[in-house]
Amino acid sequence: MEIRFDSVSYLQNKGLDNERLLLDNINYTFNMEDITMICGSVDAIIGKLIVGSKRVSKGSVTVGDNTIKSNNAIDKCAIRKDIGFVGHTMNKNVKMKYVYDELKYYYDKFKGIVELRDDRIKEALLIVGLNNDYLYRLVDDLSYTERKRVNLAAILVYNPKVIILDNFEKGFNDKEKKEFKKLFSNLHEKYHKQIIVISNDLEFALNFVDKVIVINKGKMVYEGNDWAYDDKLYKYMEMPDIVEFVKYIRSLGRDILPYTDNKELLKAIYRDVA
Amino acid sequence: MKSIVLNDISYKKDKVTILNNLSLEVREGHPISIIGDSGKTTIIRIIEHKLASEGEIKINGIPVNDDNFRLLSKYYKVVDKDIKFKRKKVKEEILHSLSKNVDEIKTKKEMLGTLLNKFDIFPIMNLEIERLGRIESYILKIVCALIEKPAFLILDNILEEFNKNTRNKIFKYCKKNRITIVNITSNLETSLDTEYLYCLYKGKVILEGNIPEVFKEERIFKRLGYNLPFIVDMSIQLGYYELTDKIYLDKDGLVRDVWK
Repeated sequence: MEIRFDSVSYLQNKGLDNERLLLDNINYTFNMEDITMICGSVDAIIGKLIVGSKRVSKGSVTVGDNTIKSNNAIDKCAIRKDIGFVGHTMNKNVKMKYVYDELKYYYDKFKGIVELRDDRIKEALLIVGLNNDYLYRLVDDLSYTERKRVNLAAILVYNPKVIILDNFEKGFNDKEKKEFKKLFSNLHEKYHKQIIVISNDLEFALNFVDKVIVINKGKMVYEGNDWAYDDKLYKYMEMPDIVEFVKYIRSLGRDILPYTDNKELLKAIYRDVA
Repeated sequence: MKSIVLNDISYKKDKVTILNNLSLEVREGHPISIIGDSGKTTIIRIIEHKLASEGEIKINGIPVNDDNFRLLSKYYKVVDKDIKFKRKKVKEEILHSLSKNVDEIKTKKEMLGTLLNKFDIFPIMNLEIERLGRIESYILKIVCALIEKPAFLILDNILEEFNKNTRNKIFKYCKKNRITIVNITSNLETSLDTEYLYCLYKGKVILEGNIPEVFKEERIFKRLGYNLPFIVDMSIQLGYYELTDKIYLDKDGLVRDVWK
């Protein structure tokens, strides 16, 4: 599904004293083949522009057959049927009291085949690591990460083409992050979902994200596929620890390859020292 | 010496045990981290006296009860991921926090200037809070908490949101101003600036110890789903290759030792 930004600018508090230019003439087309990560000072605005919950100040965002401009009429339902946006603000995203009702709400809104609904809901919960015991629990009683899982399940239940993850990984432990990376990679490779990650956590991106783009002070300042050891990226972003360590060793004259896997790095260090 | 002490705390919700005879303490000047599967936020709610539990909580040696919990709450501030503010504008929120600071005016002015500069608040001073980005909101929450000068700053899964530079600023400021951090986290990298670690599992403390010695129990951390901080993990793994016998927190020390 094509998602294209054409000369997009986004001005916050337009016309007021505290006006801020968050996006400045961004031109970019999201490639379906890549899992893309958006980093920098943008926060969730890119995701919100894609789903039409915020409007551009200038330019346009094309999402499939829909073009979103500053004030044209758009079919939000049609856009959101294809785009699942897992936001980070859990309270704002929750519509219903109980987990089952939350998933049912999204299923009914975008999918609608009643006979398949309950199976689909249970399947979505299982995919995100929750069992059927969660169906009749109050959303308010869930922990932060449980709510995130429910939020993700509420997207998966209607099977959108595109999944946008806004800082989804925050709050999970490393094992859980690894499991989710595997899930999203599978959704991308086997089920051809377009995955867009919004985060500044390049540790999370390692061995997962294909392409990194960086927005700094409104401008797109970096775009790259072979990003892990690209010095241009690290003018704007914090390096993953393994990259910083390898670069440090190499700066001391050691011949260590640019590893992104800890185990391979350990073996290489042993070979170098021994 | 100021302290928060939890003794034999048990808490159940809907017949499910969340905390099970849990004991931990934090003393002024000795920041701690708490990791674990569940119950971490429940601990905060119990300290805040928002949940009724079995066991005893003491703040500065005083048992917390229905009559004194509000008074004792001035000794700590909690910053969590809930981005809700009571006022509309950044300036208003800061002024409100300042009104709770009981220092002399001159001291307050200096402190405020330092904080607003250090955490880059001036550019967002006139913004409406709902216009702030996620990180800006968290920074504002922390700054407002620091303005009130609590003895303890309880951070609920917040430090992982920031880069190393911002985390360093927070820890340095707190150390200089005698504010002790209680870092509740899912990311062990953020624990490196604290002194002591409690690891919870099924409502109990199953592992605790000084940082970095506690990381020697790497199998327990890995079984619970936590990767050790990178340099710590490298130190331990390279130790198995007999290339070092120490746990390092910095890359320079580790590299010097391995390639001696």
